[in-house]
Amino acid sequence: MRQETLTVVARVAEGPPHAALRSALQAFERARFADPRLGIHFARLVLLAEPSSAEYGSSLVLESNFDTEIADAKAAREAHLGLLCERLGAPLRAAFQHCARFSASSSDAELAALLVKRLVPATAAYQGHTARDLNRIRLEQRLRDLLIDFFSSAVQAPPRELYHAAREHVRLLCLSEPLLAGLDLDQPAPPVPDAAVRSERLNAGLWAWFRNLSWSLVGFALGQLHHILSWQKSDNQFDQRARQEAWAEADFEMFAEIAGTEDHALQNALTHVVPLKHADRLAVLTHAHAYIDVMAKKHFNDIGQLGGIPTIHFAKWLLLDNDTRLLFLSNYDSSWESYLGDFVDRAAVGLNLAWTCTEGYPNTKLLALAGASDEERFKAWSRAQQRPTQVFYTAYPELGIAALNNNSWIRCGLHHPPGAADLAGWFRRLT
Amino acid sequence: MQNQLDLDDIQGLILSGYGKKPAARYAIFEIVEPGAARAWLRAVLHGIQYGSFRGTRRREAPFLDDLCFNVAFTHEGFQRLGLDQTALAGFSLPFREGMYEVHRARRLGDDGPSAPEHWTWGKAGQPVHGLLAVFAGEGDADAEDWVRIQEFIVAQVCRAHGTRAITVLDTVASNRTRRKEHFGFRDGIANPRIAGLPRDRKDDIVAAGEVLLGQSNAYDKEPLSPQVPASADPTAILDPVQDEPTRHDFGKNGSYLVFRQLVQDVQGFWNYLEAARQTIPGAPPGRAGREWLGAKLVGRWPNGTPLSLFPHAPGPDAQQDSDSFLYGLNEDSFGDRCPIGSHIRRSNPRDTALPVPHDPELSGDPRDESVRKERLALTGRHRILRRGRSFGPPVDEEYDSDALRTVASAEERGLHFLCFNANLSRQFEFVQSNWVQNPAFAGLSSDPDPLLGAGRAVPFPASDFTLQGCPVRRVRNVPRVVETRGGAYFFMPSRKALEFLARDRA
Repeated sequence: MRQETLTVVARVAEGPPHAALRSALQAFERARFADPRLGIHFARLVLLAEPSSAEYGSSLVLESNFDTEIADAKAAREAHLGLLCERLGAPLRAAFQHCARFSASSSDAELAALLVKRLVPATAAYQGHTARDLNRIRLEQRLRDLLIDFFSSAVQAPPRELYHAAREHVRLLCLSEPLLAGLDLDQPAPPVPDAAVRSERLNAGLWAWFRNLSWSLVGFALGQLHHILSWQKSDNQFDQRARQEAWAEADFEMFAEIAGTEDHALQNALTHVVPLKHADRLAVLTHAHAYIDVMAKKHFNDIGQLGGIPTIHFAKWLLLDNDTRLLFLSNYDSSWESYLGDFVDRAAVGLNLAWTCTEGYPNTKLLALAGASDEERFKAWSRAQQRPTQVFYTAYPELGIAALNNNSWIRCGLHHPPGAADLAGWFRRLT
Repeated sequence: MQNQLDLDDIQGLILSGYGKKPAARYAIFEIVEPGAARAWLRAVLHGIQYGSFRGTRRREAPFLDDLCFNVAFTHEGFQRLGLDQTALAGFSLPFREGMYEVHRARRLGDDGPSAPEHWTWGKAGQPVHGLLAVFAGEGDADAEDWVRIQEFIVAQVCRAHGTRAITVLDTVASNRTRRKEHFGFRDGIANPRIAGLPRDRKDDIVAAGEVLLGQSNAYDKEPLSPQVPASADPTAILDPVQDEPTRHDFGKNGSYLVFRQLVQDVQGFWNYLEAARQTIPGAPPGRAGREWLGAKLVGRWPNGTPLSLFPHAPGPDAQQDSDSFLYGLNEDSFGDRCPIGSHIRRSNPRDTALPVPHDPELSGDPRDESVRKERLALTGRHRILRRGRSFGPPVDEEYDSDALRTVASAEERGLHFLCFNANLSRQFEFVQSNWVQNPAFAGLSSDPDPLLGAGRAVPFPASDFTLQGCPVRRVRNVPRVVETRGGAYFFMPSRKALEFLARDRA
């Protein structure tokens, strides 16, 4: 089993205010995504509403992160959309019928076919973990709770004795506890990232970015250097003060709508869309994103950290509207302020590369430096481009990426008794 | 070398809690007649306590006024006083929206009995405009101090001055509390110091711009500050904005002030400790066990000595080092001494590795100085300057923990939580929502702050408290022992900003 993601973007047929579509989204029961046959980790439906004066029409976005046995990404996405329409055809149709070429009377199969046609590839994508399915996540969380309960009432004893007592306790519970179904401590634990590799990657810092540079990318960058240097002199950056002083009722309503969708649990969703500065930036952007994508695949995925940020479940960038706008979708832990603060404090380089070619982004140097480290400006720019995530589903709203990793290691330590040196570390993970 | 601050432009409460003044009252008022209120402000402007007393040694002039006072306004208050539209629009979103805003209330933990709709002041539809904070006395407070304060408030906040008191919040004489909060723990120990302030300790320093607008912050930038067009300030009362001569800086040397009235259920707290203690195998019996578990929840012993330095029993009362310790240097990176979820650790994590201390690959070695520095830099972006005082009489003058548990008292008591910061979202709100309220703080899973975040309706119904160690212990169902009764975001302007605000514009 592995985790795959998909994004569908469909043009909304009629212009604003999209009242009927909005009420379809409001009526959409996000718990429907919890259908066990779908294997969905996270899903969202977002209306990117544009004013009638905008050069872009409005769009409806469907995003899903799901478990699949199918190795081929394209086939996995098509199968997932087929299943989604089979299980959730009616509510999806109620929303997508407002999009061009969709209809209220299409069959589930026709709906799926239309959605498949509107799949948009990511320019860069990161996944915090790719190998844990929903059952494993739930089992490991339950295991942690059971262990803490057990230790909370255990009489003080030497660590090794406590450990073995807990192990026997869990072995017994496996027979009766439904959430532990399938747990067999005598079998090897499912794989966890190798500690040495993970440690090396986590501590590689900027060096990893150099190490993964390809000659063709270096060649391209050198060829663009004179553009890059001239852009960084002449680009206009987001004027936070002017924007703030001009906030009108509509801005406050937007802020309130976004805030209304946030902080209902540990996990939050971010939907962000921004135009490119100019078509001449497209080549630089796609090269930068391809590089980020390589970094994600080779370096960041599965170590639970993207560019220094250890709280991201997934993040992906996509180009919309004939490559003129950049859409960013992400699930993260804790508040927006914390996420954006981590961007600034821990990950400015990678993010600068991702967004430097977009409208208003704080000025960068050599594409990767400065930029997001202009803290207040960066946060204000980001909030100004953010959109409300109208329908947001997560299968484990209370579990952070750190907890997912931690739970796996706790379980691993129960399958494979730790040596004397590691036993204290195993106990420490029970917090 | 830090720039010297213009102390005489900064209101004194930002720079000092006036610890030597035992008596204080806070008048929360509305402005009913803006012209009269501005005239009043003009009259008291130079009587306000500014910070120049912080620039000299204690025995050298200028001294703190015998009765000293400070003023601050909410966004609605500035609006009512007729502040220039550009400046009004230059304040940050949290300040403009107010503490009671529904989504903010959820993030700050103000739900259930703490929801703004139940507040006695500061709720939606009942605007608060200003705060007059008055301090007096020396040594032990006597009755006369309170009379003087009350007479002063009555004389200042009145119809003739265009204002009407919404509520006057009392405090308990600080000599009675001996710096203890009502649960019986010494409070107000950890506070950062502002860079550039003379006569201060040199550790735990934050950039001046973390507290004051118009100064450089932790990112070497000046926080966004409300400005007015130069044309609105023809006599140049305000300082011009650097590199922007068409603008004058209204916010410079001012600070956002968070005010929350928190009610404490002392008996509930100690009763819970007694019940929870009994669920922990091997916990000390009786009173010792309650105090031990209470110390675990707080992170300090009742006398203020930190668990990280004194894990088994309280340190000496006069312990000077109650604030200058790091977890990593005391074999306490993982909460064995001071639990990760304890109140002091989550409101000021110091060198705790976030977001997960016990992931050794991610968090590095705390004995490595560069790792420690990096952690301190990350947590250092979320500091606040606390200036609170308790209200209501102590349940027991000796704060005896048996008495605190057994003496029933119908009187309301608690803390007027006041803090200053330059960026409400990154500092106060961050601490309150990401650290204090967050049940998953630092790798925990169902542990909100046991003092300020427990027993909430949303987002997580569970309120556990985990004691790390071998074996780990967890106590369940921590009750809500602190409720919010009122609150508002104020801004405490500089002398120049007050002068500009108060100017006659007839």
